[in-house]
Amino acid sequence: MIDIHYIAVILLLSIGFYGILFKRNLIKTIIGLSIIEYAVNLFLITLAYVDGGVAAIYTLAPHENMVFPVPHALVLTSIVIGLATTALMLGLAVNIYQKYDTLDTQFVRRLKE
Amino acid sequence: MKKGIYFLVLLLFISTLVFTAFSIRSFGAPPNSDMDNYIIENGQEETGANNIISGVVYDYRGFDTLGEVTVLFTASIAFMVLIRRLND
Amino acid sequence: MIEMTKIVRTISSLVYPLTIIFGAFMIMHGHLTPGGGFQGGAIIASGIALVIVAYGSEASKDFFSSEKLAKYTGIGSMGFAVIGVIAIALGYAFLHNYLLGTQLFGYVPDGINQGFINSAGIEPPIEIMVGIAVSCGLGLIIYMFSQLGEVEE
Repeated sequence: MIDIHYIAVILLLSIGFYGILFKRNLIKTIIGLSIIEYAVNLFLITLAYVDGGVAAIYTLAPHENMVFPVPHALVLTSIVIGLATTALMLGLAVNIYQKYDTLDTQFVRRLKE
Repeated sequence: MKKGIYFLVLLLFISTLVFTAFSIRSFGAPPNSDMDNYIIENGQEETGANNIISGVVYDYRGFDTLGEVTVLFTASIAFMVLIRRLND
Repeated sequence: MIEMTKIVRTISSLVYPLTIIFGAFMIMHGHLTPGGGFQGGAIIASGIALVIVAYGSEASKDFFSSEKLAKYTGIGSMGFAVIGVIAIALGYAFLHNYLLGTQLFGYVPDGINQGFINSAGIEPPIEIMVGIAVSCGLGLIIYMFSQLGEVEE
């Protein structure tokens, strides 16, 4: 039986790949990439959970049964890098729009001129 | 034609994910926990931090965090250069 | 981006210092409570975004400049590297936790406790540096987005 968390991950990954494969607008492609990124983050967080665990922080913790800290640290890294790269992708999209007057990837063909 | 190939690829990808999800372990029961149990037990005395996640990010994986800050710095400077060239 | 009404501007100038203080609290208590350099820096960057949205892109040039934000991003990431290199100068490996056991940030807690701010070795200095870098880096991205299409002198 599939858990509902993995169903959510599969749905998000499918939506993201649909956006990358079928949409020609650059902004929609970037949105699809971001959705894939958040799906991967959600998958790592679900891998870290232990039954009945609390967050791995010893300050006034209720008990010492804790969830795994390493996937949380990896996701913390991934979120910040994802934010920076998304901003860089949006900046490149703005540049492409200024040069070609369109965001449709079908018409962005001339690599050099 | 092209749309059909894309649809096939998407279907293959989703079916792979679904077949994998049937054989994956159930939620909340991790099979391998040696590294994480070691960090939970010894992380406080090795790093001195109550927040074990903070201990992993800034002490065990400090070099990784240095690279992450470098990526953030490079991305923001590159973004600034892009927008400035646009405004001129 | 045009500036918003007087109500929004007044409330945002009231909330903006509180946002900065909350971000600084988040950065300073990163080794005790949920939070840390990245989260606190993102909160400070949200304060910068609040000012830019409320006052518009023209008036926000008086508050921030892209040179200063880029400079402090570099200072934050350089400070992180310098803290790591000091460990080499003391004879340890790169980014070794050399402050653990000393008077400054050297306390090592044991088990469940209420939290001591002077613990965790080199983590609080690194968190401050990362907080400076992340807040100014994200603030630079938001500021440059607001300056899009307008000529900067």
